[in-house]
Amino acid sequence: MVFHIEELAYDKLKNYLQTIRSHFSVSDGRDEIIEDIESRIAEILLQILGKSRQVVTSEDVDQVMSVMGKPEDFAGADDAAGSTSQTTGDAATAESTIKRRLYRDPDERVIAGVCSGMGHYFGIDAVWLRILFIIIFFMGFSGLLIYIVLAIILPKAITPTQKLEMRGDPVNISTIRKETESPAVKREPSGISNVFDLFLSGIKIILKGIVYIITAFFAFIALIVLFSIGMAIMAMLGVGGLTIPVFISDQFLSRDQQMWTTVAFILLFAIPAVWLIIRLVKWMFNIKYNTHRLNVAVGILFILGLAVAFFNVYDIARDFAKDAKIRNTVEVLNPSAQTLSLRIMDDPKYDEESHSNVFSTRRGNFSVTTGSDFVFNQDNVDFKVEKAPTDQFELIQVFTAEGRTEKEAMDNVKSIKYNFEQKDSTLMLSDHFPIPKGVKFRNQKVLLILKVPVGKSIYIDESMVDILDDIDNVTNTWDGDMGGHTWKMTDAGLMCTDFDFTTNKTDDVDPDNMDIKIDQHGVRIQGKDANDKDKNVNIKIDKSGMHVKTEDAK
Amino acid sequence: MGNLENTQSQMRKGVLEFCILSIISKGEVYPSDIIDEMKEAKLIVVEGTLYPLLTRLKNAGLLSYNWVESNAGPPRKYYKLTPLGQEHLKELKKHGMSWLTQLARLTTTPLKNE
Repeated sequence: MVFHIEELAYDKLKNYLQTIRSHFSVSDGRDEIIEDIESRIAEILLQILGKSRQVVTSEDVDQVMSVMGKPEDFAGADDAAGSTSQTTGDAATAESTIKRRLYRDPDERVIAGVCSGMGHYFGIDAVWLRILFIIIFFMGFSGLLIYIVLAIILPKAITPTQKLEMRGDPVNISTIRKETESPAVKREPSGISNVFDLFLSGIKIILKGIVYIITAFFAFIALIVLFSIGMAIMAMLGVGGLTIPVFISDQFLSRDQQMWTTVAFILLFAIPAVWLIIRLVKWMFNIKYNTHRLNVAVGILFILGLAVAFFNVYDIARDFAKDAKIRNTVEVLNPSAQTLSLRIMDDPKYDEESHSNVFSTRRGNFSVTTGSDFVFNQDNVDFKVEKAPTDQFELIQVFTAEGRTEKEAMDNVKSIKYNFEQKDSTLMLSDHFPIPKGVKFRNQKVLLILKVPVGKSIYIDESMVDILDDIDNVTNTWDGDMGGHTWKMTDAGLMCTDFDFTTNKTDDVDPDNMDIKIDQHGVRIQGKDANDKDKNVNIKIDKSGMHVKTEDAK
Repeated sequence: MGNLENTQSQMRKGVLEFCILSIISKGEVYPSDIIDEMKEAKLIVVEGTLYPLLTRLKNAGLLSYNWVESNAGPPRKYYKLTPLGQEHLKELKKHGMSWLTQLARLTTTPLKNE
C-alpha cells in the first residue's frame, strides 16, 4: 500500500507511531499491535482520501489520530502497558544508557545554539563551552571556522522529540506531553544571533548553489553521454543518415523516413532527456509531487519510440534490398607507345583535401558539393587489371547499385556518371563519380576492369594506388607497392619491368629479416619463414581482408 | 498515577475484556465492528485502545484470527473465540454475573447492624 504524504503530515504520523511504540514493551506483542494499528490507519486514510485525492495532508493525520486516540489513552485500557510506561518514565533519568543526540538548541542560544546544544550533549553548562569557544576565537580564525561548520552541520532541535533527544530525556508520551505543555524557557536571542542567523542562511544558500552547479554539470555530462550512446546505437544499426548532419540525410532517407527518424529520436532521446531533467530538478529542489503518471507515460513513449525506430530501420534497410548491375565495354585506343599510363584525373569540383564535407559510411566515402547539378560524390571506385583476349586495350565499366525494387536499383545504377579521359598514351580515371540531385545513396559502385593485351605495358601512377583492387601479378606484389612502376602483361600475368619484386624488396623494405609497415593502405609484414630460411612470408592486412603468401627466396 | 486512577483502570480492564469476548462470541468480527458496538455502549472512545487488548487476548490463547482480503485497503484480521476462549467466557459470565449482583447489593444495601 503506497501513500503520498506531505512532509509535515509524515513527521506527525511518524512521531505518533513512535510514541505508540514507546508505550509498549516487546512482551506486550508490540510489533503486532503496531502492525494492526498501521493497517487500520491505512484503511482510515483510504476512506478519508477517497478516489479524488492522492496526497495525505497534515489534517488527515489529525483526523486519524482523533479516531485512533492518543497513545496515553491506550495505557488505561491495558494495565500491563500502563505500568510499563510509568516505570520507564520514572527510571529513565537514572539510566545512563539513554541516547543523547547532538543538536543546536534554539531556545537557549546566544549565536546559533551550538554551545548550548553541545552543553546538553556533554552534560555541562553551556557557559564553559562558550568561554572555550571565545578562547579559540581569539587564538585564530580556525575557531570561528569550527563554529560555523558546526552551526551548518548540526540540526536545530525544533520538535519536542528532538528537544528531548537533545537533553537525553526518554522519548515517550508523558515526556512529550510535558515538553509541549511547558516548553523550556526561551532565552531572548541576542542581536548577534540574528546577524549570525542571516549569515548562516547566506552560507547555506551558497553551499546549496554550489551543489546545484556541480549537479547540473554532471547532469549535462550524463545527457551528452546518453546522446552519444544513442548516436552510437543508431550508427550500429546502420542508419548512416543519422551519424551525419541532418542537411545531407536527404541523400539517404525519404521524407517519410526522415520524419519517422525524427519522431523516433524525440521519443527515444528528447523525451527521456526532459524527463531526466525533471527528475533532477525535483531531486535538487526537494520538490514532492506525484510523478507516477509521468513516469508511466515516458515509459510508454519510449517503447513506442523503439517500435517506430525498429520499423523505420527495417524500412530503410528495404531500400537496399535489391541489386542491379550494368556492364559496358569501352574500347581504349591503343597508345602509340608500348606503355599506357594510368593516373587519376584532377577534378576541380572535387577536392577531397580541402573539402570539409567528406563523410565516411561503412560502404565508402562520399562528399557533398553544393551549387552544382550533383549533390554528392560517391567515392567507391575499384580498378582491376586482366589479360586481354585480343591485342586491344579494353576498359570494362561495371556499375552496381541497390534499391527497394529491381527497377529502382536499375535507376540508381543509371544515375552513375563516370568520367574518364584518354590523351594518347595516358588514361585518366576518376576516383569518384557524381550522383545527380534527387538520387539517393544506394551503395552505388563502379568497378573498372582494364584488359591489357599480352606484350603491352601499363604504368601505374602513385595516384592510382587508392583505387587498385587486389591486382594479380606474378610477384604477388601488394597493390600499395604497385604504384610508381611499369608493369608488363605476360602470359603468366603482370610483371614489373622497372623493379625487381622477386626478392621481395621494394623501395622501402628494410633489408633485415622482418619488416612491418603500417600506413593508410593497411598493415604489411614481410619476413623470412621462421622454420624455413629459404622461404619468404608476406602478410598483409587491409580493407579487403588478410592475405598470407609464402614463396621461395632466391 | 493516583490510587483512584489505578482502581478505575483495573475495573475497566476487566469489563472491557468481558465485553470484547462477548462481542466476538457472536461471530467472526473485524476490530472496527467491535469498536462500533463498544462506542455505542460508551465503553471505549478511541480505536487505538482495542488493538493492545486484542493482541493480549490472542497471546493468551483466547482468540484466533483469519486474514480476509478486503477490497478497501489492506487485508483484515477477523477474530473469533478459541475453545479456550469460549470456556473462559462461560466462566466469566457465570462468575461475572454473580459478582455484579454482589457488587450491586454491597454498594446499595446499608449495613446490617445499623
